[in-house]
Amino acid sequence: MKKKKMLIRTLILTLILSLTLVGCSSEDGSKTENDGSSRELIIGISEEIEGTDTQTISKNNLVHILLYGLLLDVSLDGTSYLPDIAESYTISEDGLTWTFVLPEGAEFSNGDPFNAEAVKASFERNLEVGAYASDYVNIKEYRVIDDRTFALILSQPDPVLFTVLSSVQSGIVDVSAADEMGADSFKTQAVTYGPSYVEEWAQGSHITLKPNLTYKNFSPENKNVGPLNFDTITVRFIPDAFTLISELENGTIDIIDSVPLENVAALKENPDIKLYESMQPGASVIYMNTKDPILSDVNVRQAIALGIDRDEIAVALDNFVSPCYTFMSPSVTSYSQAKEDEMASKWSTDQEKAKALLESAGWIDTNNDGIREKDGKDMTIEFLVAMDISSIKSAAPVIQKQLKEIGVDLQLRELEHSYVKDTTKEGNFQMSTRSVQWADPMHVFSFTTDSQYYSNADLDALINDSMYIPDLDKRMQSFEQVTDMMYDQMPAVSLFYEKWYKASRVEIEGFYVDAQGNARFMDVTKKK
Amino acid sequence: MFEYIVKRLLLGILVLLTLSMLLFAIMHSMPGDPIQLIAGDRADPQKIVELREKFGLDKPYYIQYLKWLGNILHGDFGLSILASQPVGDLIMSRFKYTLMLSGVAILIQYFFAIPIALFAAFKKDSMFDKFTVYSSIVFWSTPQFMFGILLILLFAIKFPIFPISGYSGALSLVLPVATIALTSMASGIRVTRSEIVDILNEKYIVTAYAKGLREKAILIRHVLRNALIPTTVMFFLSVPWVIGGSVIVEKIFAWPGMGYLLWTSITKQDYPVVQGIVMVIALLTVISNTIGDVMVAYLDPRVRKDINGG
Repeated sequence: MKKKKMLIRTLILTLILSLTLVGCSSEDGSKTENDGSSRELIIGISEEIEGTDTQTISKNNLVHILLYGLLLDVSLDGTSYLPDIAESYTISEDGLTWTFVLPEGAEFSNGDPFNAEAVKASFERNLEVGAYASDYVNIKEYRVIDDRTFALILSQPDPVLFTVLSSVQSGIVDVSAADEMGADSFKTQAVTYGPSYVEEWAQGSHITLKPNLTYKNFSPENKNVGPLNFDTITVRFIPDAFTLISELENGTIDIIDSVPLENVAALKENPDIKLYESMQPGASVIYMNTKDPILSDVNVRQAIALGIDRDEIAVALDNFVSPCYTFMSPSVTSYSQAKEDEMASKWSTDQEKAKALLESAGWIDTNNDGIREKDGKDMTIEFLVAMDISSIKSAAPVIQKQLKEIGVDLQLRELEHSYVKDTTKEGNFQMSTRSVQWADPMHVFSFTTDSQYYSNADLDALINDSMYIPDLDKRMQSFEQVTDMMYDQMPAVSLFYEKWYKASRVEIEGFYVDAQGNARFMDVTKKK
Repeated sequence: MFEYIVKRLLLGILVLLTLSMLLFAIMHSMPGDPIQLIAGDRADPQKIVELREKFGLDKPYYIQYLKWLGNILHGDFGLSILASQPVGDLIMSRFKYTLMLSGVAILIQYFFAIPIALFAAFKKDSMFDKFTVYSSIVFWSTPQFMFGILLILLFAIKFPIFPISGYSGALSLVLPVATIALTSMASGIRVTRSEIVDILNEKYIVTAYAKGLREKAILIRHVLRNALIPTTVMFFLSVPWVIGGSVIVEKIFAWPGMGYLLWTSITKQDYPVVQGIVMVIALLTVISNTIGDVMVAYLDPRVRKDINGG
């Protein structure tokens, strides 16, 4: 009996001892510099990466910003494009030759030389395996001038390239390593030229990055040329918003990539947290099927646009969205504040005008039930709502209420954003929502025209012409005409753009977020 | 008995076959297009065609199904659309974490549930019994996500004893295991307790007392053995979820297990991964149900007699 008791006691003691040891080993063992700054950075993101090879994935996030250097970088205020991995760049007067001078002695994370041949090979691989090869369609030649000088020779001026080259999809990969490793293996451990490289990707848990010591960044907005100020960067995948915010508030995570809107107010009040606001490049838009019997009348479409009160929507969403009339936020290239103001004055909500337009289109409430009728049919419209985009989901009932006031019965149907996009493309809808995220108007308008639900050759031609105007001011003016034409035809209603938030602990310094929401890490330090 | 086991396994194969058809039909009739999702908005049409070919989604549904089924029989669950990795590898990389979490939780659950239920039933209507009954109602009716959040608030934020989320050693197991074990234990306690209470009123127990058997012997040999029959069924029914993982708990605690993988795969419409995980869970359900039935037959002579045709 005594032996049994002894055994149980020993077992309990062993358990306590082992738990204590595990506890001790998981204590913060972060390295600290003499100046008191820490050499470990921990970042939390809500969605795991699809892969590390940016050429074979569709969606990138903060991990890819840390893995890839880019030929161009958008400035913090979003108004210009600066060199990033290139020491300098020039564009010829005719806009057809873009020349980049690469740094001396730079290496990929595996030690392979990073030179003009490597950049050329990376672009050529992107054309072969990348999903967005058409973005590079106007580049007719990737020219190696010498080891450090690389040029893009264009068939026609293409300002969209500013956005494309400053997007992670144009990040440079080591093609010889990709060939050696094979596509699937490279997807999990890409060899890149960027601020850091992949040390370990524990799927479902985290990815550990190490700094590329030869990496240099030439953006004049960064104080630190390179390498990063950390020995290790751990990016943890935390899908639950409560857990993600708790980790940040608790100090166990230094930076989070995306703050859910419902948490912004609380974090603003927290003295240990810094918030970084940016704008959605693009906008949230309502599409109307111009081939639908009800919506085929432009008066009806314009009445719907006038029936929507964007300011009321913004208030209902705690001002986490801003009203938008020109299908793009100020962070989009070719945004025109003058056109935005003009459209806001012409097309802000006017219920009386909306009612008059509906009446002129023959929609009248004959039975006084609050819903208009025509030819014995109620004005009932199905509205596809992207339920996984919280701003759109929250705005939909407000829009429903607003349109009810002018006699339109909107039936909400909540679906996944991807399904709403597919259904809209196929033309199997009446009204639908879409959140567009791209820093060039090309994408905003290309989705609207030449589709199953709307086509207008004149508009298509104008968009196409606008896209390739090299002078950015003239380009902006041309897109102002596109906006006018959109309002004349009203196949879509511009609603709002979202405000995006990233957050960090107060100990984090030198962390910047540009107008389009891209994070900057070169100057980041962490005080203990 | 052997014939019974073979019959159950054959029935299981039929169940798996039917499930595979249903699963395939449901997954492929879901709204949305996974290829469009991974290719992105601006993808070239040609790239979309290439990706469809790569994942065999350009073939008619029945060919896709037969190919998928044939590959499964050879242990090949296909390629994840999202990760471009073999589904089997993805499942195996998450398996150890799920086994660790749910395995420890289920063991703790039954390790404590049975003695607590036995003691509560034996001391029926005592303070301990009342406390057990009411507290198990509370735990049973508390949603796992809410309980998990409460534990995080209390033991990771207010008193920072354990990590909030992720896997970083034994300590990070405590909160998610507690969440699963405490919320699941309640049902085990209630079922076992009520079974024991019934058994304690049986005439053979009174006879055993009358024969002068020791209380400990009565409780273990006569009461517990009979009470374990429904508990055994429950245990084996819960085994597949040890593998499938607890989706909600793994999400809250950012646990890199199969539940989290299943959740992300459903939201990203990664058909092969969802189908692979569900088929693994289904297979384990069939196997563990068969084992459960055999165990019940072993524990309960009446069932054994029925099986043997006596």
